[in-house]
Amino acid sequence: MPRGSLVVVGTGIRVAHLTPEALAEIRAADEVFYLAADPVSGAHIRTMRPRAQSLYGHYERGRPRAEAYERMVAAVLAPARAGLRVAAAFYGHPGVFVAPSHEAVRRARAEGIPARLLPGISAEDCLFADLGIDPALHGCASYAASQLIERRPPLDVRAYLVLWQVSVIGDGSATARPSRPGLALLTDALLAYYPPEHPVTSYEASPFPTSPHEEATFAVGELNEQPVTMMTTIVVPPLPDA
Amino acid sequence: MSTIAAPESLTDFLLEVATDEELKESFLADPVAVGEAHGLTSDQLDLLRDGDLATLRAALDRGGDDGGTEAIVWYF
Repeated sequence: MPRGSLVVVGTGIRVAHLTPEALAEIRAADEVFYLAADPVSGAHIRTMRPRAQSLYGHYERGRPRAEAYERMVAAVLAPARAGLRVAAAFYGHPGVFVAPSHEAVRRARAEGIPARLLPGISAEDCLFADLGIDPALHGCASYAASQLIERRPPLDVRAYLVLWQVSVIGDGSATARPSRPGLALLTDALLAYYPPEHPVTSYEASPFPTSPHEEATFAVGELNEQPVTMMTTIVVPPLPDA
Repeated sequence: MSTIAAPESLTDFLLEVATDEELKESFLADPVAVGEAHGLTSDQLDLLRDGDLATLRAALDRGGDDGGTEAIVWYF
């Protein structure tokens, strides 16, 4: 039996973010899987590979997302085990806040199947560009918002803080609606580090070529009153030097 | 500007714009003219010009793409 392989690539945030090496892998693969965060990106994959299979159907509303990821890993690995060249494309950067991509690569390698993960453009990359933030100036820490609440890690408040997945704080299920109680918990957690009047910015990169990104700045103490979407990322700027 | 047949859906139009920089520039400069030339309805044009990202995403999902009637979060 021929030896299969797995390459995991990122679709970036919008269609133009798909890198030439990712495109080459998608075109060359025997089997293509994808998980897109918007219909345009999904349609783009299908124009190149009409038989590409969406992994979206593995989500089951109200069930733990971890179950869906397990099914995604199994789906991606099956043809690789059968000797096929597999490409799996995930939204954004496939190695940033993407559990099934890392797990698929880990299991493939453990089974002797060649596996690689190629870099892509993440929401944080877009955030740096759209908001004009250079993490080199003050440093920058990234956390899943739930981690910040559960672990209360020591933070360098003189550095930028990027908080991911603020809409699903404490919620490990597949859901379509932001958790407002979670936002209140996040506000309380941030107030342990920052004064209530310190500004924070909510940010959403645009996946659409005709629309700009969205951002809104408000005080930390008012975070729990702000509208958020499922795709919102929060960035907290450094406190000024004393 | 590209001259193409009217797209079947807003997703098709956005994909075309996303892969055609010249068309994108034309649309951003004159969305009404380009949108009408590509068969977009006034509602679709309003959505593209005035809709926020969440509204646009939801409208596309309702169009029958992967998201079905209401997209589940894509978080990992």
